[in-house]
Amino acid sequence: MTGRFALADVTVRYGSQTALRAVTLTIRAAERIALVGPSGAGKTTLLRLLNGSARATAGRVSADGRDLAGLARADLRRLRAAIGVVHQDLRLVDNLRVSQNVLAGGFGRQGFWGSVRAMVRPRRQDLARAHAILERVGIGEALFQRVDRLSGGQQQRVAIARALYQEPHVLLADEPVASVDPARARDTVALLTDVCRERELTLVMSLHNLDLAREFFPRLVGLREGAVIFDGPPAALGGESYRDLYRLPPLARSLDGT
Amino acid sequence: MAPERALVVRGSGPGGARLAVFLLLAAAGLWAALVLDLDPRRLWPGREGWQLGAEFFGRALRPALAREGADLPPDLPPLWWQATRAAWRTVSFAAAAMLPALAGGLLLGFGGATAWWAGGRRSWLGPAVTAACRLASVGLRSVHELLWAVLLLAVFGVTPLAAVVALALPYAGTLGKIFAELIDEAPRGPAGALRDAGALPVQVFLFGLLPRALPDMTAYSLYRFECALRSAAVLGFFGFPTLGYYISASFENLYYGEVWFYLYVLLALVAGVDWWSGAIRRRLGR
Repeated sequence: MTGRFALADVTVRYGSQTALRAVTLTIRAAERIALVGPSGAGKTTLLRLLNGSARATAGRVSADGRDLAGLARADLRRLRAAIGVVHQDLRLVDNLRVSQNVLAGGFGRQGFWGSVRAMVRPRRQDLARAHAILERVGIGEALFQRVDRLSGGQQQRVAIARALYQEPHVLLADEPVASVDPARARDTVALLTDVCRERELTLVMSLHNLDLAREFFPRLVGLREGAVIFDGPPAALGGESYRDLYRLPPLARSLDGT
Repeated sequence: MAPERALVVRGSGPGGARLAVFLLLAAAGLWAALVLDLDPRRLWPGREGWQLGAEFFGRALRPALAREGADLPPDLPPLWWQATRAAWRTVSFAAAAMLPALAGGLLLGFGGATAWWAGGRRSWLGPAVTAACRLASVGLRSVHELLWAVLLLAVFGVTPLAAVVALALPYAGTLGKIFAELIDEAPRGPAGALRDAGALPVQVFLFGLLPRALPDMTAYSLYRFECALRSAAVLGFFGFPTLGYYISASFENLYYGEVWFYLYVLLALVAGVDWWSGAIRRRLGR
């Protein structure tokens, strides 16, 4: 996998709700894209489409030119192994050690016994690789600590390290800084964008914070009510499209008296 | 999460339902007492009752330290040795029963959980296995170990095997039910993350779900071991040479001092297991 994606006229419906409507989008390898827009705009659904967690109701999603809809189980597993995901709520096994959580990132390329070995008696070179990644994200010293003994910021770095341990070609991050104080939010976004630049990974990150998106991403994709209403460099996001993006729904507008 | 929970506590609907359930249970209790003709005044014993009670409980502070009764055969082992052996046998029955009970409980618990298939691809297999395992758990534990003992005595006679199987069957059912619940209560987030990373279902289950359930599963198993000790002691009433056997024999001979000695041994046994399981739980960080 090289990290290219194409969405052609993709619609996703959950029951009567339409999460995405007729989205067409091309993502090139090693591109860094911020998905911006109000909550409920379809950012998470778009991310879930890319690793096959969500399915298109209509339209076509492809990775490296291969249609994700027709993917066999083993191929889906291979695709996911090549895509690291960082969730807002981290999703770590917090009564295991940092090393075990990071090494779990390798499961996608391991058989059952390989993963048992990685959890119980990891090989020296695997631990060394996990340690190097933890060093890169700034918490090398935490390798053998239990996750629930770490601070929130350190835990977030463990989640990032687990995704990087996959040696992915793509990193997807779903609101990684939504529940984080501003200083740490900036550090985290900087870390993720730096790492992806270094390793030439495709990065797609959903972000509430438009300022961070403008500062760190060469390309912004604005979503509103399931449709793409902006796609371009931050400089092209003028006042008009900004207002479109965050235009308040009618009820809130009348309450605000605007 | 927190605000939703606060709503549930404050909301009038669920609170009203809780009150209704409480009143219903209270009414059922009163009705049952009437049907059974329960009269609290009858708790007041007669003169003989008082005498027996005084004799029995009077020995609580003066347990026998040697055998009671006259003209004992000279080759009888001393009381402390008899009690120690009975305690040891009680522990062995309980331990021997816990081994197959744990194996069965783990199988039923893993199968009976929904977490190992929820979130994966949809198929009929997962729900079917869960339903089958839960049905088996219910079947096994709906028959009490003493009833199993009666059934198995008829089959095997008074053999250690009968006692161990009688304990193991309902305990496997109970462990299976609780294990399934603990696994299902473990947070699903890590499992989702591993699935996203391309992990196999078995890897997701073993290393995404199970680690969070394991400390509670261990603690509960230790508690069940304590229950198994008490049950093994009671199985003595059927003739198995555990503490219960000697307790009932001494009671029938009116050797209340001996009864209290055996009871204190049982108490020490249960307290010991309780202390031991507490130490393990502390080490597990719970």
